[in-house]
Amino acid sequence: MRRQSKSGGKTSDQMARDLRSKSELDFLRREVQRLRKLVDPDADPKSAPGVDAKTAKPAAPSPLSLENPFLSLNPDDLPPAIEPEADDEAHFDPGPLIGQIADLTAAKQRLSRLYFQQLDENRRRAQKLHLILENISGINAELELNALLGRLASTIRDSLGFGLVLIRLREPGTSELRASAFAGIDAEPRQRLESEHVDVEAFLSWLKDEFRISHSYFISHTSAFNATLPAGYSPGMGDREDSEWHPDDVLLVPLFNRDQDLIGYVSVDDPEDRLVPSHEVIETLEIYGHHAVVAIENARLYRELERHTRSLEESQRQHHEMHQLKSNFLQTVSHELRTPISAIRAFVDTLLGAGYGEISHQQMRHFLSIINEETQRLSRLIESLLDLNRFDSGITRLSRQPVDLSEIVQETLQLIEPVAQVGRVSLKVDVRCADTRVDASRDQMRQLALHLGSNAVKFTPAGGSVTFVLTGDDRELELEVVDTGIGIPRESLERIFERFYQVDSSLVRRYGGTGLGLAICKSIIDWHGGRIRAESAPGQGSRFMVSLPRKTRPRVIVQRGPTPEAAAEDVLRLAIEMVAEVMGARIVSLLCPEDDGRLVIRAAMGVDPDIVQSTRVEPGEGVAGWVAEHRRPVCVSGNESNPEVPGSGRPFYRSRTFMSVPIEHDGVLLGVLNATDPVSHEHFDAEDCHLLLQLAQRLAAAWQQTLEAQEQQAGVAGTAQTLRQLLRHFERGRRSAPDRVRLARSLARSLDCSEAEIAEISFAASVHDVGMNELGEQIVEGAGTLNDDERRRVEGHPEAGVEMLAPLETAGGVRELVLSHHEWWDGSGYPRGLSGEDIPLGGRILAIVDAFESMTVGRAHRASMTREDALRDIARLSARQFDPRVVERLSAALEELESLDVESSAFESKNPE
Amino acid sequence: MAKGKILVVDDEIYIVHILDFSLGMEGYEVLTALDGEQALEVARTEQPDLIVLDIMMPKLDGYETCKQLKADEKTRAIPVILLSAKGRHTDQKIGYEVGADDYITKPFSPRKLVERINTLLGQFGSQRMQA
Repeated sequence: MRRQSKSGGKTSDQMARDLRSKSELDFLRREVQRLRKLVDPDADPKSAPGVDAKTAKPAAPSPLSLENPFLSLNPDDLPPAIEPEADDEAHFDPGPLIGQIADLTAAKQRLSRLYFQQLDENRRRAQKLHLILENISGINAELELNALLGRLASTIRDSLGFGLVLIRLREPGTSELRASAFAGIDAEPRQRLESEHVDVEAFLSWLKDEFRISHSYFISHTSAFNATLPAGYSPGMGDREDSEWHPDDVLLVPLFNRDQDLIGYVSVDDPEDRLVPSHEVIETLEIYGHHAVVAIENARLYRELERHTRSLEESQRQHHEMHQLKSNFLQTVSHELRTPISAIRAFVDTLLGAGYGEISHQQMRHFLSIINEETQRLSRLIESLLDLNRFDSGITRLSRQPVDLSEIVQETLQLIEPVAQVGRVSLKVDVRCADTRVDASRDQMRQLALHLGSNAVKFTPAGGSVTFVLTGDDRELELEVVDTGIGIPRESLERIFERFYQVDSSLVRRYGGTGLGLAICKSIIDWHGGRIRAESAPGQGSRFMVSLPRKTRPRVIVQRGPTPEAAAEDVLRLAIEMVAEVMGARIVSLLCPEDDGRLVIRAAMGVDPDIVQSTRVEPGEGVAGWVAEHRRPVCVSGNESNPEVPGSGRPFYRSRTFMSVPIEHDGVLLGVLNATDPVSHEHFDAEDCHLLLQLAQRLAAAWQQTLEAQEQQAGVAGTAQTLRQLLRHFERGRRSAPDRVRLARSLARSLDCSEAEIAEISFAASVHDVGMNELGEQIVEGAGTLNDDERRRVEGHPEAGVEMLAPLETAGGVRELVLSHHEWWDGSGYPRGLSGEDIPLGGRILAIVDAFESMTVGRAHRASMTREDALRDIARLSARQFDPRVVERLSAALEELESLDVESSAFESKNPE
Repeated sequence: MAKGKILVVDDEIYIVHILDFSLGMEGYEVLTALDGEQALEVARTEQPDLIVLDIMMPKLDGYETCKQLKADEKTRAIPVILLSAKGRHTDQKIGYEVGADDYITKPFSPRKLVERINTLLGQFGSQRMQA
């Protein structure tokens, strides 16, 4: 087969004429050999035609390989071998040889074309990887969830060439996957996708092994199962061949977090190359997916963190406000106390200083009456302050009893009648409900009515009236005090219940008030679980309205547990109230086991606070101890005692009927729930006991949830700590980190690591020393040698780093690399003393990258070295500290990075932007 | 002939009473005001020789009243004694900053106040003569 040589443009005959001399022929032989080698490098040179023709047999046909399409040149197709011994050149026919040469030249050209194609392909891949890494770091840097998802969707569309990208995320706490981000989907179908949620269980059922490719799932339109999927969004894509991507094809990348919980999935459609995505594309998608999981969880944590920060700021603000209030209060108090004292002191001083006869008897009496009045004012003020303080510190132990408020109003009227007569103010009472009783403290109710009544009389001019109105329903009783007085300016209405807030201080003082009356009223009502508010029209009058609950629940006492969480205390309080309500019991208590197994009262209603605090029950002791030990309920009625249960015969508080049930979760005893003293005065029976058990089960679930919520909060705090540590680490190493990462990546690539490994090693290179954060600056940067303790701490930094990364690094890979970056090839490194191939390759790479960086960048206690010196030092430690294979590739990797730098700077200089 | 005219300003009526009495016994003519605004008016029209001024008062407090007194050409020369329950050092400092000539903390002794007033007026009297 004669072929036209492309390069020369001559026929083989012409070439044959040109090549006559022996030297030319030798050259041609050599050329044939060289080309053969190139074409088939595995061929034994001895058997190569033209080298040893005598032993030469027809070469075995080299199989046509699809991977090497350029090997279409089968040796059998070649012309017969050249006879090197041919003496007679005249008999030599160069024709076939020339033909061979022409064929081989063509093959060589194809070869070089392919070589360059391959080179281009590699460049393209490198660029693509670079792009992926850039995209990933862009995604990872995004802390706002929606922005992050949007970015992820468009990155997948743009870099992997899918026309449509949909990301569905599971809203925490639900089992719905909601459409959260889109790329390439129009507004209308978008709205539809947003309104349709995918159930998590349903989604997981789609992930059948038969569809699995890598970690993703391709459900072809030809699969019968495809038809069972809910209709997604399939745009018209025109006619497709069977082998092409079909609009109904589905490719799903599920997103699992480190606990293997599904947090969402990515779905892609409409590939621009119209092909079913290759393995490589799918793996790239998964790389995005994997990083997206971390980024999504980070964003959520960040959101959580922000929420926490905000609430912290809020409580700080409130704290500040409280402080301000307290300071204002103190200032006001001191002023209010000093005013009467000033008057008293001034009059006493004058009386004492006056000479005999200088002050008339009448004047003296006047002075003394003023002193008397101011003294009373002072003591009233002090009384009021003490009252308030009692409420504030909660030391007021008031007993409640049924109080008839209409009686209280009548008593009050008698007290203020004389004042009202002087001021010509008429007093009225208007009772509009039959039952005016309320559970309250009698003394407090008197104080309240007196404050409101005398206040109203004071501020009502002559001819006006003050009316007490009582209204109410089953639940609440309302007392209104209505006057026709001077009123309260609108802007003051909200503040009149504040301490010492005075609409007009001279006015209050003229009326002999303390500025604390309404504050005390508010405290009384707060204590009773009621509300107080005021309405007023200046010049026309004021109306003070007090609502009091008819029945006040007995207070539940909650003891602080090991985790003093307000939410947990609320749960306990509500649980106890619920049990009391459902069981109709006056006394309910919850005992929980301490670490030593003894039971303490965690929450109780109707039990004396001292008992709540002091009770300690040994396991097996008494009824509760028996229940805790045997995990069986006990119900005691009347005088019958259960011989099995110690102490079941003795009376419990006021009652002779008693129930005690265990609260368990997953076989662990959470506590013992007791109820006694039924409101009905009847005995608890088996049915009651069953009901209490039911309640205990629900309580167990609720309590478990509360505990878990607390743990989660602690987890959030831990992750926040990790993020802070990483941030600090990155800030500290901002200058050198990029070089380190590039070097690690380059080394990993030269050692044929997979893309996933390379990604892992690159990330590890940016965080491997995060454990150094724990060390003080003086150790990291300080000069001099380390003492034993410091050395121990330095050697602990890989482990410290792993611990810090734990909440973020879901897969173990990066942690493993961080842990092993100080292991030595000969086994003398730390922390585990691994050697040789037992050290993960990434760890061996990091060891060199780390050493090279610290040598060339230098630390405070060590001057930086030149690159050559560093390379020499590292080479010297090859096979001792470092893996020789990695050492071998170090200088090449560094050169590669430099050449890239040159390229990119050349590129930059061409593009000034 | 009265020793001089003193304006006493306080929203506490009893304080006004006792100062009226004590200064009257000493031979001064006493003018009274119950708030800052009233005080400014009386000071302008009556031209007292000295003003005793409380700080915590409704409408216009003592600091502000003093500032306005010292800003007004007609009342600038009248010495002002601030009288207040505000005993902190900074309160006194503000007092001197707004132009007060003396500062007395409540509770106070009317006799001591009278002595101060005598001293202040004596000084100012001699200064006036020199001028």
